[in-house]
Amino acid sequence: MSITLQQAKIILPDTTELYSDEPEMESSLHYTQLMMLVATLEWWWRDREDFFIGANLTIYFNHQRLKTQDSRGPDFFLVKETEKRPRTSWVVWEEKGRYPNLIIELLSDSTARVDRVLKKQLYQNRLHTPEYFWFSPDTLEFKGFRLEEKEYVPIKPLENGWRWSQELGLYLAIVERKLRYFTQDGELVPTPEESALQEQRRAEAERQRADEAEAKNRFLEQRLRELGMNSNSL
Amino acid sequence: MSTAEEIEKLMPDTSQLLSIQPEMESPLYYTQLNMLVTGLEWWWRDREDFFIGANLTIYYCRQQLEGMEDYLGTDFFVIEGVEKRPRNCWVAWEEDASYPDLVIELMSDSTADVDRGFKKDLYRNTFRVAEYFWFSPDTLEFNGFYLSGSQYIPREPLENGWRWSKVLGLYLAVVDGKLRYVSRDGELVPTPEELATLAQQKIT
Repeated sequence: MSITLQQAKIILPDTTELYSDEPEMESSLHYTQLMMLVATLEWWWRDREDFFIGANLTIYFNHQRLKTQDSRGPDFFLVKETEKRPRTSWVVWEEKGRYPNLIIELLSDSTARVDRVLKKQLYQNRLHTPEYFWFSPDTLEFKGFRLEEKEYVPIKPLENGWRWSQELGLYLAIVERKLRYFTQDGELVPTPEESALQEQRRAEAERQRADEAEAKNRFLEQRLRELGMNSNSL
Repeated sequence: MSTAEEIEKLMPDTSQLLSIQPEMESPLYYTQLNMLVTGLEWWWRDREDFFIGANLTIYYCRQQLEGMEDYLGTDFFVIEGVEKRPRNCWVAWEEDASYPDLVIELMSDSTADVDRGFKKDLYRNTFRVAEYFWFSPDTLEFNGFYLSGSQYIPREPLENGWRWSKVLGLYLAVVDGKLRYVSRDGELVPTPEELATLAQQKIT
């Protein structure tokens, strides 16, 4: 039986509020790493309104898979050129058919095989995700792939181990056992905490400079008075 | 808020939607499209794991159902890794593959701007179609692109103008004013009509 556009419009249910259905993160190590990736990028792109970051969130893309509950979500995904607003899941047919631009999986013993083989196939063949990275917060295993035509080609690291992400316009690199972002010029992209700390230090240094300048002024005034002059008479 | 299970019960089977793509504009276009379809179906006659869409709508989002999107349909597309059976249209969320692996648009004066602009962007950025070609049966303009990450890189032609398609494992070439398939060895892939004619000539 055929159905027309008008009929489909009426019967397609509202799936914009579909719940995410993802298991909890494996450990606090994984959780901390995930939050760092999310918060840092949100902070780095704080003036932009055209992206969405999904953290441990389900991507719904297929009717049948709703039934079989086979709509697993990545640990971290980025969609560019979309509206920035909170979502309870990512439903592809509610989002103008858009899939992620980039996916990062955080490996653990229990997920490593699935992430390296099954998910790689899914992201390559079905989601056509331009870039896929994985990182193990335990073993520090770190790999990256870029879609060339229909296949994932490994992203070769620089000599220092950094891997370029075209989608982010940033490097991904391991620093003190954490996966971090670096700018094209090689600067570490700070987390909001690091940024606040830097700002605090800068403000402190400024205050100290101001204090020192004031002390020097007071000293000079004192000397002038001793010499029978004041700064107004100069 | 709802769970996947609740939503699934409400989801209609939209796989029987009708295509909203308008008819082809001229016999020139229709003949060219037919050649591409029958040629590939013959070449892949032993395969059961692909779908060829001809002048068909690809449904990819709700906004389309509400008439909010500019896209109506695609002239020619190939999707691999799916069941070979007839379809009225392609509904991305009802299938085992979302989007085409290869698209060929047959360009005319009225579609040229859309094919070069809006559709190229849709195929690159939303569908992430591995290979996108366009060909004008009028002016014989022929161009091609392949996906690298989320960018389209021009597929440079050979000296004779042929362009390789990795998805098809064939060259695309303009022969006698028509876009045709040419095998890796440089043999023209015949249409079923040409084969039938050849066979008949042998008999008589």
